Amino acid sequence: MTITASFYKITKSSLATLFAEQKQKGNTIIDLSGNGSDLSKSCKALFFPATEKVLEYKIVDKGVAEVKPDNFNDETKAVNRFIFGANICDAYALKVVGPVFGEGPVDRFFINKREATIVAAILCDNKKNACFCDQIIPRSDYSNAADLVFTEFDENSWAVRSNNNRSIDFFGNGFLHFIEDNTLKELFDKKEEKLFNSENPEEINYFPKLEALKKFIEKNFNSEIFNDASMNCIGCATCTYSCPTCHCFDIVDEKKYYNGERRKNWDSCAFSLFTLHASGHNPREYQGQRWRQRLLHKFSIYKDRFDKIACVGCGRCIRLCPAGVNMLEMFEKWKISIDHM
Amino acid sequence: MKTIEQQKAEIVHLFEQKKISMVVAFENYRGIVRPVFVKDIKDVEKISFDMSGKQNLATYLKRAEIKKQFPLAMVVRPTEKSSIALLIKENQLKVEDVLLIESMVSQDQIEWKKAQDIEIDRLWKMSFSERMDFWKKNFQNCIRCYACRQSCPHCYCQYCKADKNQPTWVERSAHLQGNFSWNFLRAFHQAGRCIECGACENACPANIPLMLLNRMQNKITAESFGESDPKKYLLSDWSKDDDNSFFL
Repeated sequence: MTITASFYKITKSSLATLFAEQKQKGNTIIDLSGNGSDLSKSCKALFFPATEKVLEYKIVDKGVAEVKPDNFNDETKAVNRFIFGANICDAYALKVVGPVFGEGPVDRFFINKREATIVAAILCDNKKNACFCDQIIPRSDYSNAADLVFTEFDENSWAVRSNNNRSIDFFGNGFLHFIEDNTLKELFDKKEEKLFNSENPEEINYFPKLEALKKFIEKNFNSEIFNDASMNCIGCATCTYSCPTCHCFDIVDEKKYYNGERRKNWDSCAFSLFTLHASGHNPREYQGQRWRQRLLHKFSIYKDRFDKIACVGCGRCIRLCPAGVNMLEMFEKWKISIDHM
Repeated sequence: MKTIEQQKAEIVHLFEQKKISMVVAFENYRGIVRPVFVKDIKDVEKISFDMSGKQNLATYLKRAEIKKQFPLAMVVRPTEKSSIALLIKENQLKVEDVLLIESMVSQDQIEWKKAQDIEIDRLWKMSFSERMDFWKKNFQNCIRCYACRQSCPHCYCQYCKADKNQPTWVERSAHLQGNFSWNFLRAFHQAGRCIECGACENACPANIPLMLLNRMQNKITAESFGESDPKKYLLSDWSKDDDNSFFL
């Protein structure tokens, strides 16, 4: 499929005016481009929040409950939200986890939000510490990751790449502020080229071929290597909760007297509780086994199931880990064995 | 004063005599000071005696994998020493389980504590509702990753109350109510036990100032029940002269 992208230029002031107009119309504009924490800049939580109400219930009699479903509506929602300034990796992550929520039984909570939102990403100027998106995201998907991709043209204006028509519908007449200029494609190509060819941050001396890595992790299922590599891990969920593609959740009922809510909460394979059976047996007894699961799911299971790698190389799990567990360091340590696969 | 070389030689000697199976210490990995687990003489080189690591090494002593390795050696600062002393007092550890190698470079914690004392004073002067708003603002960022619990050496319960769901004691959802219950529950369980190492605050990905809560509470417990007595244990000791004013 050829990508039919169109290119525009818009001044920063008219973009601000457009945002103000949309806010007046009652739409939500979320600006992530400012200085936020690493965690808050991931837009995962805007589609798949840490906690979300699934339904409300009221116990009316012994064993009888009145249920009020919420959000089960499967009509396509009109766009009412615009996220500006996401990272390319985070926008791409939405595409990666899309099939989990969208194929088979559709998760309306995620899909409704995705359908009602336009994601505008900004091209990164350089790689941050522990960034390795260029190793994982295919070059062809890079500029195609978000609905809109912005990059600075000069001090006062943005160059914009639009990958679909959704924003035309969203801004309506306001879209006239976007001035079409297809020569801007070169600017994007140049910036991307620069990013992909830029020196890797110091942390990364080696990144394995994804096929070889997949085989390696599968083959070493019963090996000690995961235990040794993750000795530092303290078993918190920072890596999974900050990960833009981690999508495991848990369903809980929380009640007060006779009224309650069923909620969908983030869950993490780093917890021992994640696999604890009712019998008391835990198939993943040690932290090393939980780490193995994380790597397996990202690089093997997800590849088999959805033909995608469930990692986008944002590097948050490395930057935010309180104990200094480093996935890239593990790969480097296993380099010889991986390359032999 | 021993030099770093002498201390490393000592560790090698301990390995040779088979007195220990592992050393838990800090290493400097490309500028990041993080825990390292040395199981072999050739890796002793990795140990960095620069103890500026933000975590408390004693937290690893609660892990089943590490417990299998007892007796082990640990390079300690005053913070680790206090934690290990507390774990021994609370019967979680035997004296012979961990061999302490004292790092000469003691971590200077006075700086951040001084800065925080000002913040604590500011919080005390606030009205109740202002203080509540302060914590609301902070706790709404909590994502319930439990990094605070996991990084804390004193949170050693096999089965945390927050993990129990039949019945649910603490709402697991990351909404304000659940976040308040979780953070207060953890704080209460640290009353008079927290050694103020700052590991939880440093581990928190949402940058919640957890040490404010813990240190304020230590202050209250010290005022109400006296400074902690090495022989006594605040959570289980009781005397009829204790402050009862908080009972309605």
